[in-house]
Amino acid sequence: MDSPLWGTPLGYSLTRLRVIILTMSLGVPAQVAREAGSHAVARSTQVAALICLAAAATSVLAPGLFLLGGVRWWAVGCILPMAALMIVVMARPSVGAKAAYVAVGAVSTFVYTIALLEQTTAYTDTDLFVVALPLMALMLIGGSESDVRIGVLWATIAYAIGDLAVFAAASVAGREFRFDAISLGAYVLFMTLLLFYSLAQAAYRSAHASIMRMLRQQHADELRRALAGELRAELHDTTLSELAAIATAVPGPVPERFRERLQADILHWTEDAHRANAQNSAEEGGWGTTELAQAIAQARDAGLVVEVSGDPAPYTFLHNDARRAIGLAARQCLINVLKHSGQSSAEVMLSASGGAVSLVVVDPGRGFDVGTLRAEGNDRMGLLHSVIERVERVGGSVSVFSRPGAGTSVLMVVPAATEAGSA
Amino acid sequence: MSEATFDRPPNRLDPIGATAAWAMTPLTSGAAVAYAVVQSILHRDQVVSPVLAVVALLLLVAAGVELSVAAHPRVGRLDRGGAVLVVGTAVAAAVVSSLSMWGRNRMVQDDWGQIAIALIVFGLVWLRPPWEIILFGFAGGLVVGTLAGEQPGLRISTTPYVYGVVAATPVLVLAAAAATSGFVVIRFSADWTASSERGMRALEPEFRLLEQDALRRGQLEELRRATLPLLASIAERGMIAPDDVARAAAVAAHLRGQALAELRTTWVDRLLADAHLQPDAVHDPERLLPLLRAPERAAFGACLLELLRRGAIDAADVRLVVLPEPGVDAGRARLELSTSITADWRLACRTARPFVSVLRSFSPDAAITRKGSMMTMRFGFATA
Repeated sequence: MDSPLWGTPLGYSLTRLRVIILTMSLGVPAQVAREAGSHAVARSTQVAALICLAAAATSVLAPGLFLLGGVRWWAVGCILPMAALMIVVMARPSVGAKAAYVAVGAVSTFVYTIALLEQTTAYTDTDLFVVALPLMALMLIGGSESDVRIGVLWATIAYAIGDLAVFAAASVAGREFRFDAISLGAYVLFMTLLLFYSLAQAAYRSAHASIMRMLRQQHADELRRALAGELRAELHDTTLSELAAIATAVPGPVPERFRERLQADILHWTEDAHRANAQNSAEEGGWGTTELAQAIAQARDAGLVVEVSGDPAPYTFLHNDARRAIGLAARQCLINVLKHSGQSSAEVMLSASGGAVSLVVVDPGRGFDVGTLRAEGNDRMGLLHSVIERVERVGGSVSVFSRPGAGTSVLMVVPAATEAGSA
Repeated sequence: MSEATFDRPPNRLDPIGATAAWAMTPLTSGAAVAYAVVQSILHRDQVVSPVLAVVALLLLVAAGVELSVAAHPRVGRLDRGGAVLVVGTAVAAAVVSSLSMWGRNRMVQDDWGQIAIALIVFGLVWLRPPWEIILFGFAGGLVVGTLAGEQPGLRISTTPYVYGVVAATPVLVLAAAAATSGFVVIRFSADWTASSERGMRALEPEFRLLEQDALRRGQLEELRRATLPLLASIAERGMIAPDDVARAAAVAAHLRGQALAELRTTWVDRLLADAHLQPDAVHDPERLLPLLRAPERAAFGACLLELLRRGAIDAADVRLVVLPEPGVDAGRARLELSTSITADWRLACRTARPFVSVLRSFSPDAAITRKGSMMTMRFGFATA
């Protein structure tokens, strides 16, 4: 490498690429944005509910602490189970936990309102901020639901039940029931923000995919340039030096050693090409144009980090129908990862043995109960129809390994020499 | 994830998300002003100083406008001083409103001050780090809580602490909600970025294998055209003919020329080709464009291609000018893309908006403007 032309600083380029990647912060792609939005709404409403409950406890304790009439510890005691259940919902937002929160919350609101009204005679009706506090905590349960429509339903039901509890408490305490404007205002605000979040969270996210695609393309370009430098150096050290020697030689017989060098040079290029083809015959068979390669590229464009391991060659040698079926099935698996796993990464593993080609799509996501796969109305129809049935139609088999919280692995196996099927 | 991550406002970590949700800020600001106006009208009989009541409303409007302008995608930022000013103005509005009803206020819960502060603080969700929002919430809650506790002549007779709770709770609730939301957005963004970086590194061997193979096959194809047949024939004959000398020189020159052309190819050439721009579209006399960092390159390139794909601009019209930033900042350059708008300006603006927000997270001066039928997109970048 006697000229800067031939000396591409590969090490420098790759280090630079890493630095470049590490400084990148674009936020999250569409599917993660939905997850992040749901989490943000859930956590913020849960924290807000706990603060409302703390304020309610303070409101019912303060008069007893600072004025005559005794401390209503029992009233605080009825707020605590509600707070405890909210913490349970924060840890595990199951339907049961949410239903328990609403039920216990209604009882808590009833007892709390009675304590409040009996304690302070100036509270002549229920149109009070202090009465609205547990009601707001109740309706905020709607934020714990990832589906906004169901969240609105939860919030509305919880609010209605809470208001019924206040009505009952007012009757028991002998005070006028008045629909309080504060909790109603809070309900309207909450619904507006909830709907706004659901509309806004996925907006503009296609820009994220475009930028990531461009970044990956640039990454590949940089890598190509660096590798081209290596290749140029190789060319310079071999073929170009022979050509230079010929260009400056006096016509006539060539020394035997030079002749051997020429033969070695020719062999170097042609054998290397043969070796490269043997190693990566997937490319020869058009790996880049296969359904699987396209599925991986599409998933990456959508923001999923897909790692590919194993040898793609046996896959590309599959019969067209089998190759297409496996590729499209993998595409569906990657879509499922995007939609359901809550993760931003997946792995595609390719292998071949015993006359069969295997492909595994693995994600470390939230998983699901495999037993529900063939149940009516489950949301995994894509896996059933687009993966299992599609692969079975070309004579293959599919095994799904998953359980809630433990990720999902989908193993597809097709005979290597299959002639099967009308896909 | 470092603590420093949480010191950054969510819009720096998720600029596209912040752009998508920017309308929430004018929404909450508008709600604060509307609520204040309605409450002022409903409880006008309790006002002792109409002038102060009007001043309070004007202060709130000022805070809301300032916050909304800061959140707009064309600005998209609010520094700490600005945030203090916005929240300070909202708190001042609440204080002045309380003073306007001092002695005749009947119920703390009817005051709009605490709700207004709460909504304004909530509007900071994308613009300021969560811990600052918590501090603003505490400060605002403390002021309105203290003020409520000191109010004379309230209809409900109870301990002042209850008045304090009634006034401070809305501020604390919405501040906590905004801060928690900010924490979650930051955590997700940082986690995803880290996982994306890990993934990109893991993809390197795959990219490398594919690129290496493609290059080698391309090289072989090129060598098979003239070089290898020449070498093979010389090796076979065992002698160099006079014709071989000239052919070897020509082939070597061709290969060298090709290698030089490859070496000089940069991402700008790729962009010119992909976007079908005119060869003279780029004016970069000091060759600064290759120094643009990859994230900015990616955002800029993706924006240009998207604008062209949607037909918002015409490729034949695009001009890129890159010049050193005038002034004291020697290590910076400015890229300016100018083109005529072939479609609706709103389409161009809407298309470019998320990309510009990403560019702004690297360079605060990134902007897109219109003058007549011309659109200009500009941003600065570090060249050092």
